Amino acid sequence: MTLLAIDDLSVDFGRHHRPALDHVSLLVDAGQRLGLVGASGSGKTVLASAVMGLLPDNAHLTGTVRFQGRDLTRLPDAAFSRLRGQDLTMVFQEPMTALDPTMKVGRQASEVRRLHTRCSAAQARAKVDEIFTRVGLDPVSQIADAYPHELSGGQRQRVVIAMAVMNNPSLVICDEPTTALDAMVQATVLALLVEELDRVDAACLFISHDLDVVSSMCDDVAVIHGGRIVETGGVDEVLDRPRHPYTQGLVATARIDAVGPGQRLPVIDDFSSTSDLVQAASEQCDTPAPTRQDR
Amino acid sequence: MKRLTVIVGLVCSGLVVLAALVSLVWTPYNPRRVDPGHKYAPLSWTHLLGTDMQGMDTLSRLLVGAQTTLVVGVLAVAIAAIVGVPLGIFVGMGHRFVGEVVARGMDILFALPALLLAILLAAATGASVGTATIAIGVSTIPIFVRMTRAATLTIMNQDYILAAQVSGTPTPVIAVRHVLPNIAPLLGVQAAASFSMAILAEAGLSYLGLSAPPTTPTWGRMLKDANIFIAPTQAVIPGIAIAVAVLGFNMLGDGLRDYLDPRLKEVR
Amino acid sequence: MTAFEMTHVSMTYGGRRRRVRALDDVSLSVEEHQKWGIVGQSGSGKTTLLKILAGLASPTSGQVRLFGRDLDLKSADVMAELRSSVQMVFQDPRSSLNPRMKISSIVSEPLRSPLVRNRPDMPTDHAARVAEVLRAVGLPPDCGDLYPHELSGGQRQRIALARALAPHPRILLADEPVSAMDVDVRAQVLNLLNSLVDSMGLTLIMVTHDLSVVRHTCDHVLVLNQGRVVEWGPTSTVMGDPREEYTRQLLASTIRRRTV
Repeated sequence: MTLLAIDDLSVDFGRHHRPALDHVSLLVDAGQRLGLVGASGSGKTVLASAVMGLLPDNAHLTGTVRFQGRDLTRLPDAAFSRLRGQDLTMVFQEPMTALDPTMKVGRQASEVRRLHTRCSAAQARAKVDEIFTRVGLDPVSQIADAYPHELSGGQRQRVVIAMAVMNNPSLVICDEPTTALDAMVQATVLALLVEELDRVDAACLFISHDLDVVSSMCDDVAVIHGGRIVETGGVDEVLDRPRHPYTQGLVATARIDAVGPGQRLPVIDDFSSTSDLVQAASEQCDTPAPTRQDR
Repeated sequence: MKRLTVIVGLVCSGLVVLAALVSLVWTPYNPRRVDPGHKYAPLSWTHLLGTDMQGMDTLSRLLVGAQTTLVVGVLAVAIAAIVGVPLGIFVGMGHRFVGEVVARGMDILFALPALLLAILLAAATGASVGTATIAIGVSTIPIFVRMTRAATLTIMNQDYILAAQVSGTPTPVIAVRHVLPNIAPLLGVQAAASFSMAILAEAGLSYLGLSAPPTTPTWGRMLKDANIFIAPTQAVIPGIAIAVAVLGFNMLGDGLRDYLDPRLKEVR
Repeated sequence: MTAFEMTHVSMTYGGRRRRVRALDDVSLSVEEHQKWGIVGQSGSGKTTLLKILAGLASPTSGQVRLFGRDLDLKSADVMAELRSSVQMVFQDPRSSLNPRMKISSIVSEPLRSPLVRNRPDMPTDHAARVAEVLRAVGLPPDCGDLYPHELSGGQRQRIALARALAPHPRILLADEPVSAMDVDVRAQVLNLLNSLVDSMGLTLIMVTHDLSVVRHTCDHVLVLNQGRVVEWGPTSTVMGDPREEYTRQLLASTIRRRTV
C-alpha cells in the first residue's frame, strides 16, 4: 500500500534561482525503507523539508505530496502539527540542535508523548522509561534527568530516535542521521534504527550521501542529482548495475577500498559522458574555472 | 520588511543630517537672536515653527540643534568604540585572568551611569556639550567591551584563527586581519544603536541643564525651555525631532547588519 | 631523518576539580617522507596530538622534537623553523578560510609571517608563488580575486591546501581533511593530496576516523583510544592483522555494503 506519494514536486526559492527540486516523483510504501542518495546541494534535504512542511517562507512549491491519501501541501498548519510527531516523524543530522538545550531530555521525550496521546504525566514518563531502555540509554533515570549537552553524540541521537518512534509513526524521515557520529557509534546507532523501525513497522525515507550506509539500511534507493531523481530501483540492482552515468560515478567514487593504496580514485567526471550531465555537474560540483557570482 | 526598515531608517537619519547640513549655510533667522517682541509666536509664514519664550526662531534652532545632536552622537560613539573595541578584542583573545579583571572593571563602570558622570564633570569644569559627550561616551564603553568580547570569542573558535597561528601570524595581526573585519558588522549595528542612545542621553542631560548652557540651540535645551502650558507646540517640535533621530539611526543599524555581511549573500 | 618525535607526551586539560587527560604517555616517531594516519574516535586525543605537533599547544609533560630539535615554543629560532616547515589543513574550509579575505591574501598569509619572511628559503615574489600553488591544486590563478563563499566546497579545500603548501613546508598536518565531504569531492581532494604529497616529497600526518581513507593514503597508522596509544605500525600490518581488540572493533564497525 502506498504511504507517501510525491508527484511532480518542484520547489524553488525565487524565480531567479535554479529550482531546488525539479519535477520529482517518488513513492514510499508502508513499511518500505527507501534511501535517497545525493551530494550536498542536490535537493535531498529540501525534499525532506517539503514532506515535513518545514520549507522556509520564500520557497515556492508546485506538485503534490500525498501522505496516507491526504495532500500535505494543502494541509492547514494545525492539522500538520498533529501529524508531525505522531504519524510522520523525523530524525535530524545534528542531534544537538534537534534537542532543546534548556530542557532535560526525559521531559522533552514525554512532552512528545503527551502532545499526541491522552495520557497522564506518569504514564508518559513510564513510556519514556520503556523506550529509553529499549534504545540502550542506560541507566535510564540518570539519562532522562540529563540535559542534551551532558550526553555524548551517540546518546543524543538515541534520544532523538526514541522520540521519533515513540508514537508508533508510519513514516520516519531520517536526514543524514549518523553523519555527525564516529564510525563505531554510527554502526550501533544504525543497527538500533533498523530494529526500532522494524518493531513499530514504520516506513523510512533515509537521506544520505553515503552509499554504504544506505545499502546497509534500505531495500530500495533513489538517486537525486541537481534536483532531479536520476535513478530508482532495488539497492542491489542500482549499486551493482547503475544505469545513469551519475550513479555510475557515485558508486565508483565511494569505493575507496576497491582502489589500491595511493592509486588515483575515480571521480564522477570520469563517468559523465552526456553533455547534459557535464553541465549539471559544473553547476553543482567542482567547476574547473570559477566564475564570479552576482553579488 | 527588511528593506522597509532600511528605507525608513535612511529617510529619518537622512532628515537629521540634511537639517544639520542646511543649518551650516542657511537658517531663517539667527538662532541666538533674542526678540522679546515676539515671544511664543504661533506657527506662521514669518516663523514657520513659531518662536520660544525669548522670541528665538524655533525652526532655526531646530536646524542648528541637529548639528549638536550629530556631533554629540559621533563623538560619544567614537569615545566608546575607540576604547571599548580594542579592549574587548584584547580580552576576547587573551588570557582568562586578564579577561576577568577587565570584566569586573567594566561592571564598576557600568554601575556609573552617564547622569552621574555628567554631574561629576559639570561640577568640576562647568556643564557644556563637551562634558555631556564625554560622560555619555565613557558610560557606553562597557557596552562595547562586552559586545566585542563576546563576538571575538566566537571568532576565536573558527579554524582560520588556528590556520593563521600555524602560518606564524602574530597575535596583533590576527586581531586586525581576522577578528576585526569579522566582527565589524556587529560593531556597526552596536554603533548605530549606541548613537541613538547617545542622542537620547544628550537630550536628557540638556533637559537637566547638565549639557549645553542656556541659549545654545540643542534639542534637549529647547525641550527644557518650552512651557507646555503656554505653548505646547514648542515642546512637541524638539520631541518629534529627537524621536525621529533615535528611530532613524536604530532602524538604519538593524537594516545595515544584513547588508554588511557577504556570507548572507551566499544563496542556498 | 626523523621529522617528528614524541616521547612520553601527556596532556591534561581543565582545572583542579575536573581534569581531562587528553593524551596519556604517547610516544611516536615519524620519519621524513612517511605518511601517517592517526585514527581514533572523538575524544581519543587525536586532535590534541595534532595541535601539539603544530605548536598550538604545549604538552603537560613529555618531549616533542622537530628534526631533532626540542620544540620550544618560546624560542624564536625553533618557531621560525616550525612555521616554515610545518603547515596544516583543517576539516572544514568554511571555518578555516576567513570569509572576509580574498583568496590571494588567504594563500599568501604564511609567506607574510614575520617569523619566516626573512628566511632564505622563502619565496619573495608572493604573487608568483600564490599563482604557482593555485595552479598546483588545480585552480586557475585568476581566482585569487574571489572570496571563499564564491567557491564550491571542494574548491575551498583546495584553497586551504594551497595555503598550506605556499611556504614550501616539509611536513603537512591534516585534521580530518575529507570527513565533511561528498564522496565525489572526497575522491578529488584525496587524489590531489596524494599526488602533491608524493610529488613534493612531503611528510604527511593525517588525523581521521575514516579507516578506508587511511588504508588508501597512509603507509603508517597510529590507533588512539581515550588518549592512549592502542597500536601502531605499518598500515598493512595494523589493519591486516590487528593485535589489539580495540583495533579489531574499529575495523569491524566500518559500514560495508550488505552482502545478500
